[in-house]
Amino acid sequence: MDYILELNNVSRHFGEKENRAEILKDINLQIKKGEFVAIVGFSGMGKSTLINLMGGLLEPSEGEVRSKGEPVTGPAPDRGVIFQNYSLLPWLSVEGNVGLAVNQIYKDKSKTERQAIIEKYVDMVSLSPAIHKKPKELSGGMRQRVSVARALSMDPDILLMDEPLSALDALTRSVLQDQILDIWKSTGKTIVLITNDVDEGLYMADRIIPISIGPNATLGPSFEINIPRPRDRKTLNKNEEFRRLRAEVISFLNEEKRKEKLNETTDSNSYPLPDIAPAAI
Amino acid sequence: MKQKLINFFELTGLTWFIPIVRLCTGDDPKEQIGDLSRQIALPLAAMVSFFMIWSYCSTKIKTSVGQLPGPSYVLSQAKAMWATHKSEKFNKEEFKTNEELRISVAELIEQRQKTTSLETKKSLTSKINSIKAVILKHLSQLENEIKVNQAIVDKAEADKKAQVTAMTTQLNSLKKFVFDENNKAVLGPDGKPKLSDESLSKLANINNRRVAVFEGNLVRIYKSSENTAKSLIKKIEKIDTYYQQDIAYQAALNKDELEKKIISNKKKLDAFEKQIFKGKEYNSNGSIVDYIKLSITTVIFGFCLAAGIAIPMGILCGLSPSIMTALNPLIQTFRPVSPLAWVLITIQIIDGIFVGDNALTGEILKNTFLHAGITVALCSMWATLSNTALGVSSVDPDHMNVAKVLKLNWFDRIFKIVIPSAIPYIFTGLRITLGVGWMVLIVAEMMATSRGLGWFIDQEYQNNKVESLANIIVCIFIIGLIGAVLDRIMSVFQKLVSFNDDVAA
Ligand SMILES: Nc1ncnc2c1ncn2[C@@H]1O[C@H](COP(=O)(O)OP(=O)(O)O)[C@@H](O)[C@H]1O
Ligand SMILES: [Mg+2]
Repeated sequence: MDYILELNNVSRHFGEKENRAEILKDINLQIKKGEFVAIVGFSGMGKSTLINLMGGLLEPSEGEVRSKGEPVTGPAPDRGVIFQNYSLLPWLSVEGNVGLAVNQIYKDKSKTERQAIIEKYVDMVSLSPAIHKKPKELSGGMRQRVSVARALSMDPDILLMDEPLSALDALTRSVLQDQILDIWKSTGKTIVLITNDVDEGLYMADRIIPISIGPNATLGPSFEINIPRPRDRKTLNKNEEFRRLRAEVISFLNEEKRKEKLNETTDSNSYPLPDIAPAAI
Repeated sequence: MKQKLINFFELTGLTWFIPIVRLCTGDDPKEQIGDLSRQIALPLAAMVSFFMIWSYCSTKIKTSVGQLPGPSYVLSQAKAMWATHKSEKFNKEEFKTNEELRISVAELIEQRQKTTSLETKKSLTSKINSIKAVILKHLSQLENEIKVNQAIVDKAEADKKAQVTAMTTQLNSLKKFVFDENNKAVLGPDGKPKLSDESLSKLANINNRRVAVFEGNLVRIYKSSENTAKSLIKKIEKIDTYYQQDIAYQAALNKDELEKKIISNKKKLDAFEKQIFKGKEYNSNGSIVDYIKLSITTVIFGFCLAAGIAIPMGILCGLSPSIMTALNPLIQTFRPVSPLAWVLITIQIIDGIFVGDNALTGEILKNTFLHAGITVALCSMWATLSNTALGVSSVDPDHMNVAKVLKLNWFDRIFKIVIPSAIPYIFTGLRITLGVGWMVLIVAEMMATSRGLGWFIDQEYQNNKVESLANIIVCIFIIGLIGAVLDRIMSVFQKLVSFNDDVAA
């Protein structure tokens, strides 16, 4: 039993009776310590719901979530969550946002020690020059780095990242991908990365798992990414393994999409659609 | 520097200064002048047309007390009010000087009475004499002031007389054109008399114009101060005479013969000394500046009271839907109640608490002040209450998730997440509260007879004169301007605490 995080037959729905919406069904997932797992899927399929279940912010309707063998009953600082929309407190500076976490976790340390911890993590995401700025004075990429620094400063065993880079432009995105990888390498933390970009998952993770189309979305097969690190972004496209995995994951997702279309047409009895699947998601 | 100035003007809403700043720092003049003319010329044009329309209407509209005052009349009335304020200030200063002199003399005399040593008595007497010298000097200054100001008044009076004479001769020379030999009005081509009542009343108005109000007041004030000082000197001198006699009698050998004289002398001395120990209370109805000060103090008091009640209550309502449900009917019922109703009940309650010897009689904190202030709070707190409740209950769920992940305790959740995120809402509420409070204040003061602007308007209304009507119009402008300034200040705070996210990736 050496999994750091474990989901056993987890299902989750929202609402009751006629409003009941089945979001996730029979999710099974085991994550080892130090692993980097990417979960990829279309938006609206329950990826954030899944992260919230792992973080303990939501309770499963059925099944159980276990962290280090213990059942999860609520959120805890050893499972740091990086929220999809950064969730920075707009009235606090970078220092204040990170400080909120540091002051909470290191209650018994002195003020100067805590200040040193804050500065260390702000420096880790290279935001020291902007330490006194408010979120509204920062760019999207900088905000996301604050969010990362805040999660890291809690010194969690596992980092749960909900589409941390989706809202960023391509250049900032690749810079941040490398920064996250550096942090992962130097701290040896376990990371679960939610993403909507298959390439991002393949570049960063040890393992990529597609999520099927909801309702009753569930996890697809887990693909091990056996590409040696450090991976080179420029030549990755030509890597055989990369191309094979990419094709498989995309075809799984497309197959899902096709099934959904078929369901729709049979359900609503409307005019039939031609059986054409999109080339990529 | 330039950007700082521009930011400041943008923050305070004084946007028409921005083109001036740009112009001064050498930005494209053409564009800036265009901007400037739009930002200044348009409001200016509107203002000018407003005054023209007002001016025209004032000649047409008759009120129950006479012609509606026009802009120029109101302006002269405003000046007169200012003059009254300044002379009121002089009056107070003069009163204070005289009182201080009297008190120091009285103290010395009391000491002299008590001491038995002849040496000390002597030195005290010389001190009293030095104060007498100070009073005399003050008197000569007063005489000088009276002379100077009387000259101004006299000249103004003479000018007025000359003006009236000139007008009368002009009128007389015109008479033959507008009256026939039987003294009947000659009609113009439009069938109306050539010299109408209106034009006559305009001419007559010259007599009503105030002449050298301020200097006239000063002469009056200085004369009364002169009288007070003179009577003080007289008293000191009388006391001195009796005191010297007293000393002489005591040194005399044939005391038995003098006994009767000694007793009557002592009685007279006592009587005068008693007089000099008696102080006076300064009382006056105050001036426009006092009314403004009291009104602003009252509204700030009411505002703080409203905030002190509404913010905590709003936080409770926002945190707990049950409390909100419980209080909502009460809030909805009390919110629309007019200040007229609140003020009456407030008066009864406050006067029930602070009654008789307990009645508050400070310079500012009086019962009436509380009546008006509490009424303001009761009428204006609702906006802050509902906005605070809204802000607290609509706290971003993502922020609450952060709190959950960090396992913040209840106290930290409220004070580190919920209240800070509700602050923009609270300030929006406070801005409305201050606006409503200022509006309510005038009525509250009228009813509560708290001596602010509202009370003054009511007094003027009771006066039933055109002059008072003009004073009321002056007050309307003052109330409007202060209200606008208060709103600006609140809007600056509102902008400072808002953290709307407008920067993207
Ligand atoms: N608290 C909730 N109550 C009801 N429905 C919800 C709630 N949270 C999420 N959902 C629904 O669950 C579905 C999945 O949402 P989400 O997990 O945010 O998707 P994703 O992150 O993959 O885009 C959506 O259809 C959304 O409407
Ligand atoms: Mg999501």
